[in-house]
Amino acid sequence: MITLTSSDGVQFDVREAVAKESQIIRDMIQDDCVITNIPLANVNHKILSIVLEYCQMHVDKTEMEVNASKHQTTTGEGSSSVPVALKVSSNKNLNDWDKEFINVDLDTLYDLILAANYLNISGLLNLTTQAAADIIKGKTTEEIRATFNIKNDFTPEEEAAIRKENPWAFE
Amino acid sequence: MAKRRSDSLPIPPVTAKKPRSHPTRRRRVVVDRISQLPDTLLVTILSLLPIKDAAGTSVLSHRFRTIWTTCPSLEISRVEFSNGCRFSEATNKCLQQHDTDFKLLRFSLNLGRTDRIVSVSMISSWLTRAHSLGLRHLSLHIFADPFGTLLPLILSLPFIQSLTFSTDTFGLDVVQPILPALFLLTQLRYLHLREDMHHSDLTLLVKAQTKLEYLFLEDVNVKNMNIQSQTLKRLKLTWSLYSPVEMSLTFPRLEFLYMNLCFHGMLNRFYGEMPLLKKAVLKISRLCENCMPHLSDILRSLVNVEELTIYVASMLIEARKRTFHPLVEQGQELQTFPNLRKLKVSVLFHDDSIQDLICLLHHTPALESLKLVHVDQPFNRKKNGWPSKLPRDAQGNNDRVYFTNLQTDGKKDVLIKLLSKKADPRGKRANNKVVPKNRSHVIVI
Repeated sequence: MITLTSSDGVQFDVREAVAKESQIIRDMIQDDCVITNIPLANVNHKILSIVLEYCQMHVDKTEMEVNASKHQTTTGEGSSSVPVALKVSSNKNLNDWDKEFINVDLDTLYDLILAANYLNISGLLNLTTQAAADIIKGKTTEEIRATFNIKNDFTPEEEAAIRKENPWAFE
Repeated sequence: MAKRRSDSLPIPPVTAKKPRSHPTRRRRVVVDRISQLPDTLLVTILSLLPIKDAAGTSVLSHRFRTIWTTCPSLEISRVEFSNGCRFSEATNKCLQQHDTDFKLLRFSLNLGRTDRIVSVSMISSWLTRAHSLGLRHLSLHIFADPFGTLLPLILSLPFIQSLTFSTDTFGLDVVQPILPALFLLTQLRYLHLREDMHHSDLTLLVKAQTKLEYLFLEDVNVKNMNIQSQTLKRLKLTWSLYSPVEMSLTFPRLEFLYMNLCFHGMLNRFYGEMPLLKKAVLKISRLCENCMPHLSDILRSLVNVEELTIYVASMLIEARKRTFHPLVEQGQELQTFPNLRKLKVSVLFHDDSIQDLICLLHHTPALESLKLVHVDQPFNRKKNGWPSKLPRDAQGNNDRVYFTNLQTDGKKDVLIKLLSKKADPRGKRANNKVVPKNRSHVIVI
């Protein structure tokens, strides 16, 4: 077990395999194999709990696939403090689960992108940045500005000049 | 095991209500947090957008003005544009405006089928520009003609690590060898070709690569395929129509093989050296009785695999003739697969193939799981067809059955017995069947 401490001091006990979904934690464990408590200065407990939900699910899925061939159950792993209840959705495709998982408000999405980047969890970073890209995709300039609350700091002349540079992008 | 400190805050139960807001409705944000993301993350997000959307972000605000020109990948496709001129203009602009302080690692150009508005010299200038920006991964989907014209340029790009070259040809033209004896393109790790080449060029191109790990040849129309690599780990070979007549594969480090072959009238010599192969998928269409020795040669080269999938998509069975043994060459010793743990066989499961399967089971001492799928034959001229002779599962289904844990409790022997009954219920065909020496133990009823 590894204890992860969020920036606001909340501790999470997780299995090593779950923590190791994060490349940065994997490296720490590799460098110092007796390490048991890792403070995470850049992730608060709200976001960390969501991140761990993701890691737990992905570790469980992988283990379940390995065990499926051996016809064993994963019940022996229930001692972790991170949700066992997630295993309910075991039959669901992991992609479907990811899709449901990433259906969050924009504030949470930014925090998850930053956390995935900081902890170096490539699967979560791909998922979250793709979600952000999907929100931008197919929208007009005005729609994107409105969705993300981006302030247009160009003068109308400047904006027209930029559009003229790449007219093909605005057709 | 870490003990929780007693003075620590209570652990929030993560299983409890998700602290996220209700999905499906995205709340409007008041603060512009996307602009506050670090450049690297914005670049990651913009790289995932279609090129028009990515370039369109330049007009959002000063923060976004030039971020898109630093993206490490450019993927541009003719179908995204109303006409060829617009497409060329966009490709030109993207490459011109790319910030030279940031590498353009990936360039994917998809011209579609027959659009010839884009000239070879224009493609050449794009490739040269992309290469000067630090290109490592190149993917070209273009019309047939300029391959020979572009190849000298591509061969002169020493730093390319992955190359996809795909064209739409029909495999009718006679292809001449065009490769020079020496060229700079030798650092490929990934190579995907969908283009006819002279067999000597193919041999030379693959052999010259000192780091090649993945090779995918898709419908490459060569009569004599002789390829070898000391480094290759994964190989995928597919032909929808014209398989080679002779094949020689020498890959001492190969771990994964996928091969999709059309047999009839094609392959007549196969040599394979793949001692470290762990997983193989073999898909065969138009299998005929005469081809069986070549299939045996292929299976012999897969002797060390741990996972094997054999999919006989279609068999050529002459009218009014009985079927043939589609997996095991008759009268020949079948080799043992000492490491095979997972086997999946999809074939027309009539008496002969069930017997072959039993033979396979006797030669796979480590087998743990077995998946069987009955494949109805498109060339089946027999009136009532050949219904599946597989045993039925609990649901009464015998089109696909799955057996696991074959190593425990003598399950494999039980299965062999069950199959033996299925294959030859009353032993009525025992007389007209030649039982090969080594298989005399197979069917005993």
